Amino acid sequence: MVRIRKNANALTTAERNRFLRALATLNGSASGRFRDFRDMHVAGAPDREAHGGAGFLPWHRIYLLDLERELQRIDSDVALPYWRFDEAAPNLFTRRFMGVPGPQDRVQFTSTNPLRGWVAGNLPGVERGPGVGPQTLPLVRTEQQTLALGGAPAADFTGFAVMQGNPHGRAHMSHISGVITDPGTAPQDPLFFLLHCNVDRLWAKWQWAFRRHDPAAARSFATGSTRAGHRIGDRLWPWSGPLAAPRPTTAPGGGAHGIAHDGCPGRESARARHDRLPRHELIRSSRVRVRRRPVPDGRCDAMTDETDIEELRKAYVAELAEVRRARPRPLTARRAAEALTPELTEAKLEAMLLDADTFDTAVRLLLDLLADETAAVEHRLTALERLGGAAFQPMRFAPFRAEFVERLRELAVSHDKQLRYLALDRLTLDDDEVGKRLLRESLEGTRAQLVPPATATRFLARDEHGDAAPLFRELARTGSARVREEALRALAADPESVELLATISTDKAERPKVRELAAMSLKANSPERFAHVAHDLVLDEEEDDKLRSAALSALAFTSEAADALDNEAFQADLDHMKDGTTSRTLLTSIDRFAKTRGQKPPE
Amino acid sequence: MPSDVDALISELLAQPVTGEQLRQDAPHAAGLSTADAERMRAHLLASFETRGIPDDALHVVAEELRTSVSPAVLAGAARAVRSLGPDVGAEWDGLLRDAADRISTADVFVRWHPGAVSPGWMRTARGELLATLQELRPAASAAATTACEASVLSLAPDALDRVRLEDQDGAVTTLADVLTGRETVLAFFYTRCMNPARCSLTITRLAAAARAAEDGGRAHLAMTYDPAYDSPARLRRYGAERGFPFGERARLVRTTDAWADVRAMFGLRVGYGPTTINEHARELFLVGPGLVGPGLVGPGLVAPCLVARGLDPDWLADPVAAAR
Repeated sequence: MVRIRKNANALTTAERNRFLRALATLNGSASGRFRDFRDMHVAGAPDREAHGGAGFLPWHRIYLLDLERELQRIDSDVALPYWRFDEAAPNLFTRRFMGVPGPQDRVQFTSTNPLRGWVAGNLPGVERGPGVGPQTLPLVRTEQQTLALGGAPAADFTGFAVMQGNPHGRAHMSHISGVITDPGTAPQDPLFFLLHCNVDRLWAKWQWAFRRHDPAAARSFATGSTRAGHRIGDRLWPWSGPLAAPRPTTAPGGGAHGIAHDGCPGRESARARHDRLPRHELIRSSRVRVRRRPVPDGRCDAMTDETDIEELRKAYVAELAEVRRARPRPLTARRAAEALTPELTEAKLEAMLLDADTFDTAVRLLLDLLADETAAVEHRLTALERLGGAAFQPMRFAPFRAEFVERLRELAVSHDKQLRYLALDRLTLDDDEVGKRLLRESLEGTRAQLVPPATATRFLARDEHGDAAPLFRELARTGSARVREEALRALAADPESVELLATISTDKAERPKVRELAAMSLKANSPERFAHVAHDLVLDEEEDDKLRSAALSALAFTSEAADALDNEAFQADLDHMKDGTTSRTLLTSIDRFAKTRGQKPPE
Repeated sequence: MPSDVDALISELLAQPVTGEQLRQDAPHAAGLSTADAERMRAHLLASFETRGIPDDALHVVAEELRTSVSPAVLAGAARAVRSLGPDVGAEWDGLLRDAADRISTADVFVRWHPGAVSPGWMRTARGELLATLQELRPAASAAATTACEASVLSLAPDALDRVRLEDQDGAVTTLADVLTGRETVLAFFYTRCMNPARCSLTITRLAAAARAAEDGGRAHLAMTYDPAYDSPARLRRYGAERGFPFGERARLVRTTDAWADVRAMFGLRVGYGPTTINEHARELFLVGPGLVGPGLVGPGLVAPCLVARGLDPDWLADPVAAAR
């Protein structure tokens, strides 16, 4: 079967829904294989494999392919769509698809969107900042500017790979805050996979335009790469990579054990082939497939035969050469230093991180700007965002990382509330000790309030060890409405709170919103306990229909919960319920449960 | 403003730090958050820079350099190594280099004193490691400083019998049943461990050893430090993801009602914060197949018992050798 990765903004309703159902099923309660995908893409040694050199693009190619194969085990028709981040995507950033950010950076979904029950790490829901809405055009390099990075008409991979910073890092940072803005937490947002699908598409298109598929050709990859894991013949961790220093000594799934697919397109293939897979296979296996599509005005934006394809390619490369000639000049160290004036313009700042040879200079300058208390707040905010983007190249950023964190610790107590908010957001995404301590003191009242209590609770909840759990238990009882909601969410990581969450989920005196939140936290905390709570909620005709629907939907996409029920009896109850309800939301969830449980992926 | 943990650190540093105080299950670490436990540990280790490393703490310093991902703890360990002088050997050199590499993209400045300090006066964790490396002389002779703490424990059958276990399938048994009659490799772990070089690696290696074991050979058992969280379903998923060959001789288990007894029985080096583990060592034992007479184990024992020998956690690194 040929599956085509399409622009997410142009999916049909049916395509979108199939994709969302498969993604929600893979997510489940964020354990199993979804956890692998999350744990491959975290800070520390794995980060060096994913982002630490020339292997950035090949590593993410197999990562996406692996994820896509898992989705296809759930629904064989699904392909991963891409978020074209240099265009507005009004159909993508809706409640029906990737959601829209709401209060507390909490992404809002419709009641029937399968992602409504998403579990990020240990916590339910998606945290994404307000940077990108339906009409937003993110400030990233355009597709043509990106494809011209490696030079045109002759192109070199090393130059092209600069796209790791912009547009890739900048696309992450275009959301301003939330898990997608940090490399270690980005896969906790489902949008992350669509963002990287576009990164992969850009590389594939570059390979097609400049005919850079031959791994033996010097310009197809970074021949000078010396770092382990990033050389042309290296195996890719964790799929077939060695579990020995200097590579990571362990891997999600304990190495290749849980992984049934290799890095080349096609149906499942032999493990033996997978184990031999070196990086150059990933480079070879990325040919762009172009569909025939007639265009009304007679031009070709797609192909009619081989000759036309070659002509189109040449014409496209000529366009890229024009873009290349028109690119802004990179700043030298001297010019960059001169830029740090009260008259510093956005355009000058934008220019700083454009080219590899100015990376260090620009980061130095941005750090100085971040520390400069006399600088305009908007410039410091821009510097913070740009530095966040630069951090998506961790090896290049490594010499500056400690200072960046130190600056953030200072900004966490800044007079400006926006700077405080963004600094604490980033510090807690990185699990920073000082950031967490400041927030605890702020919440406990031993220092001035740094951010609103609900925000402090949300940030502190990111600590996967749940060290603030006793405080959250207290806030879940006594906090204001918003604080209480955040505390209930935080208790998803606290095993001692299973009964509290179950009690709130079933307490009819509570607001349905709070009950749903408690139920989703329970799902993340104890899928088995959630199954029984959800069972009773769904079958109680006096319950709120939206709550029943949300519980049933979450059951449908969480096999570890649904497996705990007697499915035959439950299905019979649902059939009976279907005859007696007129709620469309509930009917949708009943059908979804029957369908999803009928397509349980193979073990 | 100095915090409670700063006061605790000051109190502990008033006297020379001992190896015993570095145990993760030491009373002063109980109830601390992970960050505070790491901060305290960093200070205890750093105190060795001027006071010297006690013999019973050498392997702790080496183990931190080998597996820790905490910048603060590694900075403390780096300072401790300086007390050994420039001729400590290539082994320490390698450990320091590995640690510096491990945190290269997660480096932070480490505060040794409470309050605001200019970055110009501080070193980063990696800076501490590199500063120690600079003090070492190249090609010094190797020193056997990293040997694991060896221990021999006697396990009374009636105590083992009182420890009820639940395995990854929810099957209930006792620790006596699973340990008696076969030699067993016993590891401890928990699924929420954030350090891939500890629990994840231990279970991956244990799984490899279990797969390599011949029929009728050793059993392989791992018990969670976090029984409230690690339900049978979570144990099964964690093991399955690591290729654990579940069966009668290969199980992941928890005990829900006798965890305190198990901790005491094996002297486990694990500490607990408000919710879960705040610090832990890697723990691996080889438990003998049958009862041993009192005279063969040690004084004071009046009844036969099973014998558990503490193993170097890296003993599992070669699954074929470990299966022999």
